Amino acid sequence: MMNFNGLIEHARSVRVNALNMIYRSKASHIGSGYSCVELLVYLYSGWLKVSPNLLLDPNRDRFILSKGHAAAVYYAILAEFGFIPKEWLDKYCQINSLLGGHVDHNVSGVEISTGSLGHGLPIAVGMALAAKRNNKKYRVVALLSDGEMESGSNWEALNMAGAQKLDNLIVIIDRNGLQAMGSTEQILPMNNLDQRINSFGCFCKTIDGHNFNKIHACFKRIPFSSGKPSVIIAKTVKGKGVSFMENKLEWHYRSPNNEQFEAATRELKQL
Amino acid sequence: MRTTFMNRLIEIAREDERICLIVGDLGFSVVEPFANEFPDRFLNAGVAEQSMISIATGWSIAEKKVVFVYSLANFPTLRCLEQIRNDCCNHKADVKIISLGSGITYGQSGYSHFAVEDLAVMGAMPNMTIFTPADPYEASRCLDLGVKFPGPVYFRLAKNGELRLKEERYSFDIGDFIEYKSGKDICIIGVGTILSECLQAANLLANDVAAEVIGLPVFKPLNETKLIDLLRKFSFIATVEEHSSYGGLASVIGEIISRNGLNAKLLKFALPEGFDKIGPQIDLRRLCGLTSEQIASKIRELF
Repeated sequence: MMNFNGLIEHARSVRVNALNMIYRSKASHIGSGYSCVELLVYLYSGWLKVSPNLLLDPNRDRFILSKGHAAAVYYAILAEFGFIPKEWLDKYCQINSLLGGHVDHNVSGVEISTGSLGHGLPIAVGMALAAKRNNKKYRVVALLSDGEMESGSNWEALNMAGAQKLDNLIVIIDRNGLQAMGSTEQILPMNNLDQRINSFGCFCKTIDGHNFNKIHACFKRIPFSSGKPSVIIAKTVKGKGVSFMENKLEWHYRSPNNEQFEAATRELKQL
Repeated sequence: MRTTFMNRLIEIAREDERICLIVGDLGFSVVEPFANEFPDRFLNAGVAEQSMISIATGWSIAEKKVVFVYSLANFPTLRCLEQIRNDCCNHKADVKIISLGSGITYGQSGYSHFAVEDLAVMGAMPNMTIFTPADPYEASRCLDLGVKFPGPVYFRLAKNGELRLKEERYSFDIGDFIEYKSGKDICIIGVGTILSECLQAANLLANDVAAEVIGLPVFKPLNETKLIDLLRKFSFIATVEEHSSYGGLASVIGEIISRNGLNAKLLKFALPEGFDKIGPQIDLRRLCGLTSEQIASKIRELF
Protein backbone atom coordinates (compact mmCIF):
# COMPACT_ATOMS: atom_id res chain seq x y z
CA MET A 1 0.00 0.00 0.00
CA MET A 2 1.29 3.44 -0.90
CA ASN A 3 1.89 6.06 1.74
CA PHE A 4 -0.54 8.93 1.40
CA ASN A 5 0.59 10.93 4.44
CA GLY A 6 1.65 13.82 2.22
CA LEU A 7 -1.77 13.98 0.62
CA ILE A 8 -3.48 13.77 4.00
CA GLU A 9 -1.40 16.75 5.11
CA HIS A 10 -2.37 18.70 1.97
CA ALA A 11 -6.03 17.91 2.64
CA ARG A 12 -5.73 19.16 6.22
CA SER A 13 -4.00 22.35 5.07
CA VAL A 14 -6.66 22.99 2.40
CA ARG A 15 -9.48 22.52 4.93
CA VAL A 16 -7.82 24.89 7.39
CA ASN A 17 -7.27 27.55 4.72
CA ALA A 18 -10.83 27.24 3.39
CA LEU A 19 -12.18 27.51 6.94
CA ASN A 20 -10.21 30.72 7.46
CA MET A 21 -11.41 32.13 4.15
CA ILE A 22 -15.06 31.38 4.81
CA TYR A 23 -14.90 32.50 8.44
CA ARG A 24 -13.25 35.81 7.55
CA SER A 25 -15.56 36.63 4.63
CA LYS A 26 -18.72 35.21 6.26
CA ALA A 27 -19.20 33.23 3.04
CA SER A 28 -21.04 29.93 2.57
CA HIS A 29 -20.65 26.47 0.97
CA ILE A 30 -18.02 25.13 3.34
CA GLY A 31 -19.79 21.76 3.50
CA SER A 32 -19.89 21.45 -0.30
CA GLY A 33 -16.17 22.20 -0.48
CA TYR A 34 -15.13 19.81 2.28
CA SER A 35 -16.76 16.84 0.55
CA CYS A 36 -14.39 17.07 -2.42
CA VAL A 37 -11.09 17.96 -0.72
CA GLU A 38 -9.48 14.52 -1.08
CA LEU A 39 -10.57 14.22 -4.72
CA LEU A 40 -9.06 17.61 -5.56
CA VAL A 41 -5.88 16.96 -3.58
CA TYR A 42 -5.41 13.66 -5.38
CA LEU A 43 -5.96 15.24 -8.83
CA TYR A 44 -3.60 18.14 -8.21
CA SER A 45 -0.84 16.26 -6.42
CA GLY A 46 0.23 14.48 -9.56
CA TRP A 47 -2.57 12.78 -11.45
CA LEU A 48 -3.50 15.78 -13.57
CA LYS A 49 -0.80 16.73 -16.06
CA VAL A 50 -1.04 20.38 -15.20
CA SER A 51 1.13 22.61 -13.05
CA PRO A 52 1.83 26.32 -12.67
CA ASN A 53 4.52 25.92 -15.36
CA LEU A 54 2.20 24.17 -17.80
CA LEU A 55 -0.72 26.60 -17.80
CA LEU A 56 -0.23 27.54 -21.45
CA ASP A 57 0.85 24.08 -22.59
CA PRO A 58 -1.64 23.02 -25.28
CA ASN A 59 -1.21 19.41 -24.17
CA ARG A 60 -1.98 19.96 -20.48
CA ASP A 61 -4.88 18.09 -18.90
CA ARG A 62 -7.98 20.26 -18.46
CA PHE A 63 -9.89 20.35 -15.18
CA ILE A 64 -13.28 21.98 -14.70
CA LEU A 65 -14.87 22.37 -11.29
CA SER A 66 -18.49 22.35 -12.36
CA LYS A 67 -19.71 22.72 -8.77
CA GLY A 68 -18.31 26.24 -8.77
CA HIS A 69 -19.69 26.97 -5.32
CA ALA A 70 -16.85 24.91 -3.87
CA ALA A 71 -14.65 27.89 -4.76
CA ALA A 72 -13.07 28.42 -1.33
CA VAL A 73 -11.73 24.88 -1.26
CA TYR A 74 -10.68 25.04 -4.92
CA TYR A 75 -8.78 28.29 -4.44
CA ALA A 76 -7.13 26.80 -1.35
CA ILE A 77 -6.10 23.89 -3.60
CA LEU A 78 -4.70 26.25 -6.25
CA ALA A 79 -2.70 28.03 -3.54
CA GLU A 80 -1.56 24.72 -1.99
CA PHE A 81 -0.15 23.59 -5.33
CA GLY A 82 1.45 26.89 -6.32
CA PHE A 83 -0.97 28.25 -8.94
CA ILE A 84 -1.79 31.37 -6.93
CA PRO A 85 -0.05 33.05 -3.96
CA LYS A 86 -1.33 31.92 -0.56
CA GLU A 87 -1.77 35.58 0.47
CA TRP A 88 -4.57 35.88 -2.08
CA LEU A 89 -6.69 33.59 0.08
CA ASP A 90 -6.85 36.29 2.76
CA LYS A 91 -8.83 38.50 0.36
CA TYR A 92 -11.38 35.82 -0.59
CA CYS A 93 -14.71 37.47 -1.45
CA GLN A 94 -13.36 40.93 -0.62
CA ILE A 95 -13.55 43.97 -2.87
CA ASN A 96 -10.95 43.96 -5.67
CA SER A 97 -10.09 40.31 -5.05
CA LEU A 98 -9.94 37.94 -7.99
CA LEU A 99 -11.23 35.21 -5.71
CA GLY A 100 -15.00 35.19 -5.33
CA GLY A 101 -17.61 32.78 -4.09
CA HIS A 102 -17.78 30.96 -7.42
CA VAL A 103 -14.92 29.77 -9.61
CA ASP A 104 -13.59 32.39 -12.04
CA HIS A 105 -11.36 31.82 -15.08
CA ASN A 106 -9.51 35.08 -14.49
CA VAL A 107 -7.72 33.23 -11.68
CA SER A 108 -4.52 31.51 -12.73
CA GLY A 109 -5.10 27.76 -12.98
CA VAL A 110 -8.85 27.98 -13.60
CA GLU A 111 -9.85 26.85 -17.08
CA ILE A 112 -13.55 27.73 -16.95
CA SER A 113 -15.76 29.94 -14.78
CA THR A 114 -18.64 28.13 -13.15
CA GLY A 115 -21.32 28.81 -10.57
CA SER A 116 -24.50 27.98 -12.42
CA LEU A 117 -24.80 24.19 -12.30
CA GLY A 118 -25.00 22.07 -15.43
CA HIS A 119 -22.39 23.97 -17.46
CA GLY A 120 -19.07 22.31 -16.60
CA LEU A 121 -19.70 18.85 -18.03
CA PRO A 122 -21.02 20.03 -21.43
CA ILE A 123 -18.00 22.32 -21.79
CA ALA A 124 -15.72 19.42 -20.80
CA VAL A 125 -17.37 17.30 -23.50
CA GLY A 126 -16.60 20.04 -26.04
CA MET A 127 -12.98 20.08 -24.91
CA ALA A 128 -12.64 16.28 -24.97
CA LEU A 129 -14.21 16.21 -28.43
CA ALA A 130 -11.80 18.94 -29.59
CA ALA A 131 -8.88 16.86 -28.30
CA LYS A 132 -10.09 13.75 -30.14
CA ARG A 133 -10.74 15.62 -33.38
CA ASN A 134 -7.25 17.10 -33.27
CA ASN A 135 -5.42 13.95 -32.18
CA LYS A 136 -4.38 15.42 -28.83
CA LYS A 137 -3.61 13.17 -25.88
CA TYR A 138 -4.74 15.35 -23.01
CA ARG A 139 -7.56 14.35 -20.71
CA VAL A 140 -10.49 16.46 -19.58
CA VAL A 141 -11.84 16.09 -16.04
CA ALA A 142 -15.07 17.60 -14.73
CA LEU A 143 -16.03 17.43 -11.05
CA LEU A 144 -19.77 17.74 -10.46
CA SER A 145 -22.06 17.78 -7.47
CA ASP A 146 -24.64 15.02 -7.17
CA GLY A 147 -27.56 17.46 -7.03
CA GLU A 148 -26.25 18.85 -10.29
CA MET A 149 -27.07 15.55 -11.99
CA GLU A 150 -30.71 16.66 -11.89
CA SER A 151 -29.84 19.18 -14.60
CA GLY A 152 -30.85 18.11 -18.11
CA SER A 153 -27.81 19.68 -19.76
CA ASN A 154 -25.58 17.10 -18.03
CA TRP A 155 -27.57 14.27 -19.56
CA GLU A 156 -27.40 15.94 -22.97
CA ALA A 157 -23.64 16.06 -22.51
CA LEU A 158 -23.31 12.44 -21.31
CA ASN A 159 -25.39 11.36 -24.30
CA MET A 160 -22.91 13.06 -26.63
CA ALA A 161 -19.86 11.87 -24.66
CA GLY A 162 -20.99 8.26 -25.00
CA ALA A 163 -21.94 8.64 -28.66
CA GLN A 164 -18.56 10.19 -29.50
CA LYS A 165 -16.70 7.54 -27.43
CA LEU A 166 -14.83 10.17 -25.43
CA ASP A 167 -12.56 7.97 -23.32
CA ASN A 168 -10.40 11.03 -22.68
CA LEU A 169 -13.24 12.42 -20.55
CA ILE A 170 -13.39 11.79 -16.81
CA VAL A 171 -16.46 12.80 -14.85
CA ILE A 172 -16.37 12.79 -11.06
CA ILE A 173 -19.64 13.09 -9.17
CA ASP A 174 -19.24 14.30 -5.58
CA ARG A 175 -21.97 12.10 -4.12
CA ASN A 176 -22.47 13.70 -0.70
CA GLY A 177 -26.21 13.09 -0.83
CA LEU A 178 -27.24 16.61 0.16
CA GLN A 179 -28.32 19.42 -2.13
CA ALA A 180 -29.42 22.97 -1.36
CA MET A 181 -32.85 22.10 0.07
CA GLY A 182 -32.33 18.63 1.50
CA SER A 183 -31.42 15.05 0.71
CA THR A 184 -30.97 14.17 -2.95
CA GLU A 185 -32.99 11.01 -2.33
CA GLN A 186 -35.96 12.98 -1.04
CA ILE A 187 -35.87 15.57 -3.79
CA LEU A 188 -35.21 13.41 -6.87
CA PRO A 189 -34.05 9.88 -6.01
CA MET A 190 -30.97 8.71 -7.89
CA ASN A 191 -30.41 5.25 -6.47
CA ASN A 192 -29.54 3.73 -9.79
CA LEU A 193 -27.35 6.62 -10.89
CA ASP A 194 -24.53 4.31 -12.02
CA GLN A 195 -26.87 2.24 -14.19
CA ARG A 196 -28.35 5.33 -15.75
CA ILE A 197 -24.87 6.64 -16.55
CA ASN A 198 -23.74 3.30 -17.98
CA SER A 199 -26.79 3.23 -20.22
CA PHE A 200 -25.53 6.44 -21.83
CA GLY A 201 -22.44 4.66 -23.12
CA CYS A 202 -20.18 5.55 -20.20
CA PHE A 203 -18.32 3.32 -17.74
CA CYS A 204 -19.18 4.15 -14.16
CA LYS A 205 -17.42 3.14 -10.90
CA THR A 206 -18.35 3.98 -7.34
CA ILE A 207 -15.64 4.64 -4.74
CA ASP A 208 -15.08 6.16 -1.31
CA GLY A 209 -14.22 9.76 -2.18
CA HIS A 210 -12.27 10.39 1.02
CA ASN A 211 -9.97 7.36 0.92
CA PHE A 212 -6.75 8.07 -0.99
CA ASN A 213 -6.03 4.35 -1.41
CA LYS A 214 -9.40 3.83 -3.08
CA ILE A 215 -9.13 7.00 -5.14
CA HIS A 216 -5.64 6.01 -6.32
CA ALA A 217 -6.67 2.46 -7.20
CA CYS A 218 -9.57 3.84 -9.22
CA PHE A 219 -7.68 6.56 -11.09
CA LYS A 220 -4.88 4.13 -12.04
CA ARG A 221 -7.40 2.29 -14.21
CA ILE A 222 -8.60 5.28 -16.23
CA PRO A 223 -9.86 4.93 -18.88
CA PHE A 224 -11.95 2.15 -17.38
CA SER A 225 -12.97 0.95 -20.81
CA SER A 226 -11.58 1.91 -24.22
CA GLY A 227 -14.03 4.07 -26.16
CA LYS A 228 -16.09 5.02 -23.10
CA PRO A 229 -16.04 8.09 -20.86
CA SER A 230 -14.96 7.19 -17.29
CA VAL A 231 -17.44 8.28 -14.64
CA ILE A 232 -16.64 8.06 -10.94
CA ILE A 233 -19.35 8.32 -8.33
CA ALA A 234 -17.34 9.37 -5.29
CA LYS A 235 -19.26 8.67 -2.09
CA THR A 236 -18.48 11.56 0.19
CA VAL A 237 -19.68 13.33 3.31
CA LYS A 238 -20.79 16.94 3.13
CA GLY A 239 -18.73 18.93 5.64
CA LYS A 240 -16.18 16.10 5.95
CA GLY A 241 -13.42 16.77 8.48
CA VAL A 242 -15.34 18.84 11.04
CA SER A 243 -17.66 16.62 13.06
CA PHE A 244 -20.39 19.16 13.70
CA MET A 245 -20.55 20.05 9.99
CA GLU A 246 -20.66 16.51 8.66
CA ASN A 247 -23.88 15.56 6.88
CA LYS A 248 -25.54 18.76 8.02
CA LEU A 249 -27.50 20.64 5.35
CA GLU A 250 -27.08 23.94 7.20
CA TRP A 251 -23.36 23.98 6.32
CA HIS A 252 -24.34 24.52 2.72
CA TYR A 253 -25.12 28.05 3.87
CA ARG A 254 -23.59 28.90 7.23
CA SER A 255 -20.38 30.63 8.00
CA PRO A 256 -18.89 29.59 11.36
CA ASN A 257 -19.18 31.96 14.34
CA ASN A 258 -16.18 32.52 16.63
CA GLU A 259 -16.78 29.44 18.76
CA GLN A 260 -17.48 27.21 15.78
CA PHE A 261 -14.41 28.55 14.01
CA GLU A 262 -12.20 27.73 16.98
CA ALA A 263 -13.74 24.31 17.49
CA ALA A 264 -13.34 23.49 13.79
CA THR A 265 -9.73 24.70 13.81
CA ARG A 266 -8.93 22.51 16.85
CA GLU A 267 -10.51 19.50 15.25
CA LEU A 268 -8.75 19.95 11.91
CA LYS A 269 -5.40 20.27 13.65
CA GLN A 270 -5.95 16.99 15.47
CA LEU A 271 -6.74 15.06 12.30
CA MET B 1 -29.37 34.33 -47.91
CA ARG B 2 -28.95 30.95 -46.24
CA THR B 3 -27.36 29.28 -49.27
CA THR B 4 -25.08 32.22 -49.99
CA PHE B 5 -23.98 32.28 -46.35
CA MET B 6 -23.28 28.55 -46.13
CA ASN B 7 -21.44 28.50 -49.48
CA ARG B 8 -19.26 31.33 -48.29
CA LEU B 9 -18.64 29.50 -45.01
CA ILE B 10 -17.30 26.51 -46.95
CA GLU B 11 -15.02 28.78 -49.00
CA ILE B 12 -13.65 30.31 -45.80
CA ALA B 13 -13.27 26.89 -44.16
CA ARG B 14 -11.09 25.74 -47.09
CA GLU B 15 -8.65 28.51 -46.27
CA ASP B 16 -9.03 28.59 -42.49
CA GLU B 17 -8.79 25.24 -40.74
CA ARG B 18 -10.01 26.75 -37.46
CA ILE B 19 -13.58 26.83 -38.82
CA CYS B 20 -15.88 24.16 -37.34
CA LEU B 21 -19.66 23.78 -37.57
CA ILE B 22 -22.10 22.35 -35.04
CA VAL B 23 -25.77 22.02 -35.98
CA GLY B 24 -28.71 21.43 -33.68
CA ASP B 25 -30.21 18.75 -35.91
CA LEU B 26 -31.30 21.39 -38.41
CA GLY B 27 -30.09 22.52 -41.82
CA PHE B 28 -31.28 19.61 -43.96
CA SER B 29 -29.99 20.03 -47.55
CA VAL B 30 -27.97 23.08 -46.47
CA VAL B 31 -25.19 21.89 -44.16
CA GLU B 32 -24.34 18.56 -45.83
CA PRO B 33 -21.70 20.00 -48.18
CA PHE B 34 -19.77 21.31 -45.16
CA ALA B 35 -20.23 18.03 -43.27
CA ASN B 36 -19.04 16.00 -46.26
CA GLU B 37 -16.01 18.16 -46.97
CA PHE B 38 -14.91 18.63 -43.34
CA PRO B 39 -16.18 15.63 -41.37
CA ASP B 40 -13.68 16.21 -38.53
CA ARG B 41 -14.87 19.77 -38.16
CA PHE B 42 -18.59 19.01 -38.16
CA LEU B 43 -20.93 17.79 -35.41
CA ASN B 44 -24.67 17.31 -35.17
CA ALA B 45 -25.32 18.08 -31.50
CA GLY B 46 -28.84 16.71 -31.73
CA VAL B 47 -31.89 18.42 -30.30
CA ALA B 48 -29.87 19.58 -27.30
CA GLU B 49 -29.23 23.30 -27.61
CA GLN B 50 -27.96 23.90 -24.08
CA SER B 51 -25.14 21.40 -24.35
CA MET B 52 -24.61 22.43 -27.99
CA ILE B 53 -23.56 25.92 -26.93
CA SER B 54 -21.37 24.64 -24.08
CA ILE B 55 -19.77 22.02 -26.33
CA ALA B 56 -19.06 24.74 -28.90
CA THR B 57 -17.45 26.82 -26.15
CA GLY B 58 -15.29 23.95 -24.92
CA TRP B 59 -14.29 23.00 -28.47
CA SER B 60 -13.38 26.58 -29.28
CA ILE B 61 -11.40 27.24 -26.10
CA ALA B 62 -9.54 23.92 -25.96
CA GLU B 63 -8.19 23.98 -29.50
CA LYS B 64 -8.51 27.68 -30.43
CA LYS B 65 -11.15 27.02 -33.07
CA VAL B 66 -13.82 29.25 -34.54
CA VAL B 67 -16.95 27.22 -33.93
CA PHE B 68 -20.15 28.06 -35.80
CA VAL B 69 -23.44 26.88 -34.37
CA TYR B 70 -26.42 26.56 -36.73
CA SER B 71 -30.06 26.38 -35.78
CA LEU B 72 -33.42 28.13 -36.18
CA ALA B 73 -35.39 30.89 -34.55
CA ASN B 74 -35.04 30.89 -30.74
CA PHE B 75 -33.41 27.47 -30.44
CA PRO B 76 -29.78 28.70 -30.48
CA THR B 77 -30.56 31.85 -28.46
CA LEU B 78 -33.37 31.87 -25.91
CA ARG B 79 -33.34 28.12 -25.34
CA CYS B 80 -29.70 28.24 -24.23
CA LEU B 81 -29.34 31.83 -23.13
CA GLU B 82 -27.44 31.16 -19.91
CA GLN B 83 -24.97 28.98 -21.79
CA ILE B 84 -24.43 31.89 -24.19
CA ARG B 85 -24.00 34.33 -21.30
CA ASN B 86 -21.84 32.28 -18.93
CA ASP B 87 -19.94 30.08 -21.36
CA CYS B 88 -19.50 31.95 -24.67
CA CYS B 89 -19.67 35.58 -23.60
CA ASN B 90 -17.88 35.49 -20.25
CA HIS B 91 -14.99 33.51 -21.74
CA LYS B 92 -15.04 35.57 -24.96
CA ALA B 93 -15.14 32.27 -26.84
CA ASP B 94 -14.98 32.27 -30.64
CA VAL B 95 -18.47 30.84 -30.95
CA LYS B 96 -20.49 32.19 -33.87
CA ILE B 97 -24.22 31.57 -33.58
CA ILE B 98 -26.25 31.40 -36.80
CA SER B 99 -30.01 31.59 -36.45
CA LEU B 100 -32.29 31.20 -39.44
CA GLY B 101 -35.81 32.58 -39.49
CA SER B 102 -35.35 36.15 -38.24
CA GLY B 103 -38.50 37.86 -37.06
CA ILE B 104 -41.62 36.29 -38.58
CA THR B 105 -39.86 34.65 -41.55
CA TYR B 106 -41.42 31.34 -40.47
CA GLY B 107 -44.85 32.92 -40.17
CA GLN B 108 -46.71 29.74 -41.03
CA SER B 109 -44.89 27.81 -38.31
CA GLY B 110 -46.34 30.02 -35.64
CA TYR B 111 -45.29 31.60 -32.37
CA SER B 112 -42.66 29.02 -31.36
CA HIS B 113 -40.71 29.88 -34.52
CA PHE B 114 -40.88 33.70 -34.26
CA ALA B 115 -37.47 35.17 -33.39
CA VAL B 116 -38.80 38.48 -32.22
CA GLU B 117 -37.10 39.14 -28.89
CA ASP B 118 -33.61 38.14 -30.00
CA LEU B 119 -32.21 41.61 -30.64
CA ALA B 120 -33.19 42.72 -27.14
CA VAL B 121 -31.89 39.58 -25.50
CA MET B 122 -28.73 39.02 -27.52
CA GLY B 123 -28.00 42.74 -27.46
CA ALA B 124 -27.81 42.52 -23.69
CA MET B 125 -25.18 39.77 -23.82
CA PRO B 126 -21.69 41.07 -23.03
CA ASN B 127 -18.99 40.88 -25.74
CA MET B 128 -21.65 39.86 -28.28
CA THR B 129 -21.45 41.21 -31.84
CA ILE B 130 -24.74 41.10 -33.77
CA PHE B 131 -25.10 40.98 -37.56
CA THR B 132 -28.46 41.67 -39.17
CA PRO B 133 -27.94 41.43 -42.94
CA ALA B 134 -30.74 42.58 -45.23
CA ASP B 135 -29.94 40.43 -48.26
CA PRO B 136 -27.61 37.63 -49.43
CA TYR B 137 -24.84 40.04 -50.37
CA GLU B 138 -24.76 41.55 -46.90
CA ALA B 139 -25.01 38.12 -45.29
CA SER B 140 -21.84 37.05 -47.06
CA ARG B 141 -20.04 40.28 -46.14
CA CYS B 142 -21.22 39.95 -42.50
CA LEU B 143 -19.79 36.45 -42.42
CA ASP B 144 -16.40 37.71 -43.61
CA LEU B 145 -16.42 40.31 -40.83
CA GLY B 146 -17.71 37.96 -38.16
CA VAL B 147 -15.12 35.26 -38.79
CA LYS B 148 -12.33 37.74 -38.21
CA PHE B 149 -13.93 39.51 -35.27
CA PRO B 150 -12.84 37.82 -32.03
CA GLY B 151 -15.37 36.59 -29.50
CA PRO B 152 -19.01 35.56 -29.72
CA VAL B 153 -21.08 36.61 -32.71
CA TYR B 154 -24.77 36.32 -33.53
CA PHE B 155 -25.87 36.15 -37.18
CA ARG B 156 -29.57 36.94 -37.54
CA LEU B 157 -30.43 35.46 -40.93
CA ALA B 158 -33.76 35.11 -42.73
CA LYS B 159 -34.15 32.17 -45.12
CA ASN B 160 -33.83 31.95 -48.88
CA GLY B 161 -34.89 33.95 -51.91
CA GLU B 162 -34.32 37.50 -50.64
CA LEU B 163 -33.61 40.01 -53.44
CA ARG B 164 -30.51 42.15 -53.50
CA LEU B 165 -31.29 45.65 -52.24
CA LYS B 166 -28.48 47.31 -54.16
CA GLU B 167 -27.06 46.19 -57.46
CA GLU B 168 -23.54 47.42 -56.92
CA ARG B 169 -20.99 45.91 -54.53
CA TYR B 170 -20.22 47.88 -51.42
CA SER B 171 -18.12 47.33 -48.38
CA PHE B 172 -18.89 48.01 -44.76
CA ASP B 173 -17.18 47.40 -41.47
CA ILE B 174 -18.23 46.63 -37.89
CA GLY B 175 -20.38 49.55 -36.72
CA ASP B 176 -21.17 50.96 -40.17
CA PHE B 177 -24.64 51.65 -41.54
CA ILE B 178 -25.66 51.46 -45.21
CA GLU B 179 -27.44 54.20 -47.11
CA TYR B 180 -29.78 52.62 -49.65
CA LYS B 181 -31.53 55.82 -50.63
CA SER B 182 -30.90 59.42 -49.79
CA GLY B 183 -33.56 61.93 -48.77
CA LYS B 184 -34.01 64.95 -46.54
CA ASP B 185 -37.51 64.76 -45.01
CA ILE B 186 -37.37 61.59 -42.93
CA CYS B 187 -34.79 58.94 -42.14
CA ILE B 188 -36.14 55.38 -42.25
CA ILE B 189 -33.87 52.95 -40.42
CA GLY B 190 -34.36 49.22 -40.76
CA VAL B 191 -32.70 45.97 -39.71
CA GLY B 192 -32.80 42.77 -41.71
CA THR B 193 -35.00 41.78 -44.64
CA ILE B 194 -37.74 44.24 -43.69
CA LEU B 195 -35.50 46.82 -45.38
CA SER B 196 -37.05 45.79 -48.70
CA GLU B 197 -40.37 47.15 -47.38
CA CYS B 198 -38.61 50.32 -46.25
CA LEU B 199 -37.14 50.91 -49.70
CA GLN B 200 -40.48 50.31 -51.40
CA ALA B 201 -42.13 52.66 -48.91
CA ALA B 202 -39.61 55.35 -49.78
CA ASN B 203 -40.35 54.81 -53.48
CA LEU B 204 -44.11 55.06 -52.87
CA LEU B 205 -43.52 58.33 -51.02
CA ALA B 206 -41.16 59.75 -53.61
CA ASN B 207 -43.58 62.33 -55.04
CA ASP B 208 -44.52 63.77 -51.62
CA VAL B 209 -41.77 62.99 -49.15
CA ALA B 210 -38.03 62.55 -49.70
CA ALA B 211 -37.21 59.61 -47.46
CA GLU B 212 -33.70 58.47 -46.67
CA VAL B 213 -33.35 54.71 -46.11
CA ILE B 214 -30.63 53.39 -43.82
CA GLY B 215 -29.82 49.79 -42.89
CA LEU B 216 -27.85 48.43 -39.98
CA PRO B 217 -26.19 45.18 -41.12
CA VAL B 218 -24.28 45.35 -37.85
CA PHE B 219 -26.79 45.88 -35.05
CA LYS B 220 -24.16 45.81 -32.31
CA PRO B 221 -21.79 47.55 -31.90
CA LEU B 222 -22.93 50.73 -33.64
CA ASN B 223 -20.62 53.53 -34.66
CA GLU B 224 -22.68 56.02 -32.72
CA THR B 225 -20.72 59.10 -33.76
CA LYS B 226 -21.35 58.46 -37.45
CA LEU B 227 -24.98 57.65 -36.78
CA ILE B 228 -25.57 60.84 -34.78
CA ASP B 229 -24.02 62.94 -37.55
CA LEU B 230 -26.55 61.44 -39.92
CA LEU B 231 -29.61 61.56 -37.64
CA ARG B 232 -28.97 65.18 -36.65
CA LYS B 233 -30.13 66.25 -40.12
CA PHE B 234 -33.67 64.92 -39.70
CA SER B 235 -36.80 66.11 -37.91
CA PHE B 236 -38.42 62.70 -38.35
CA ILE B 237 -36.87 59.29 -37.84
CA ALA B 238 -38.70 56.01 -38.43
CA THR B 239 -37.45 52.62 -37.21
CA VAL B 240 -38.71 49.46 -38.90
CA GLU B 241 -38.05 45.97 -37.54
CA GLU B 242 -39.49 42.47 -37.47
CA HIS B 243 -38.98 42.40 -33.74
CA SER B 244 -40.97 43.09 -30.62
CA SER B 245 -41.66 46.71 -29.74
CA TYR B 246 -39.45 46.29 -26.72
CA GLY B 247 -35.68 46.34 -26.68
CA GLY B 248 -35.01 46.22 -30.41
CA LEU B 249 -34.11 48.82 -33.01
CA ALA B 250 -36.61 51.46 -31.82
CA SER B 251 -35.23 51.26 -28.27
CA VAL B 252 -31.65 51.59 -29.43
CA ILE B 253 -32.33 54.50 -31.81
CA GLY B 254 -34.69 56.19 -29.37
CA GLU B 255 -32.00 56.13 -26.72
CA ILE B 256 -29.42 57.58 -29.09
CA ILE B 257 -31.82 60.39 -30.03
CA SER B 258 -32.64 61.15 -26.43
CA ARG B 259 -29.13 60.84 -25.00
CA ASN B 260 -27.69 63.15 -27.64
CA GLY B 261 -30.45 65.75 -27.46
CA LEU B 262 -31.46 65.33 -31.11
CA ASN B 263 -34.54 67.24 -32.09
CA ALA B 264 -36.39 64.49 -33.93
CA LYS B 265 -39.70 62.68 -33.59
CA LEU B 266 -39.40 58.90 -33.59
CA LEU B 267 -41.93 56.78 -35.46
CA LYS B 268 -41.84 53.12 -34.47
CA PHE B 269 -42.78 50.22 -36.75
CA ALA B 270 -42.45 46.93 -34.88
CA LEU B 271 -44.39 43.85 -33.85
CA PRO B 272 -46.82 44.10 -30.95
CA GLU B 273 -45.74 42.35 -27.78
CA GLY B 274 -46.65 38.65 -27.74
CA PHE B 275 -47.66 38.56 -31.41
CA ASP B 276 -48.83 35.00 -32.15
CA LYS B 277 -50.88 34.97 -35.33
CA ILE B 278 -50.26 32.45 -38.11
CA GLY B 279 -49.79 32.99 -41.82
CA PRO B 280 -47.35 33.80 -44.60
CA GLN B 281 -44.78 36.41 -43.64
CA ILE B 282 -46.24 39.09 -45.93
CA ASP B 283 -49.72 38.67 -44.47
CA LEU B 284 -48.38 38.84 -40.93
CA ARG B 285 -46.45 41.99 -41.83
CA ARG B 286 -49.76 43.45 -43.00
CA LEU B 287 -51.44 42.56 -39.69
CA CYS B 288 -48.70 44.50 -37.92
CA GLY B 289 -48.56 47.55 -40.20
CA LEU B 290 -45.18 46.59 -41.58
CA THR B 291 -45.84 46.51 -45.34
CA SER B 292 -44.41 49.19 -47.59
CA GLU B 293 -47.88 50.68 -48.26
CA GLN B 294 -48.67 50.88 -44.54
CA ILE B 295 -45.28 52.37 -43.69
CA ALA B 296 -45.65 54.94 -46.49
CA SER B 297 -49.16 55.84 -45.44
CA LYS B 298 -48.17 56.38 -41.78
CA ILE B 299 -45.24 58.53 -42.82
CA ARG B 300 -47.38 60.59 -45.20
CA GLU B 301 -49.60 61.55 -42.25
CA LEU B 302 -46.64 63.44 -40.77
CA PHE B 303 -46.33 65.80 -43.70
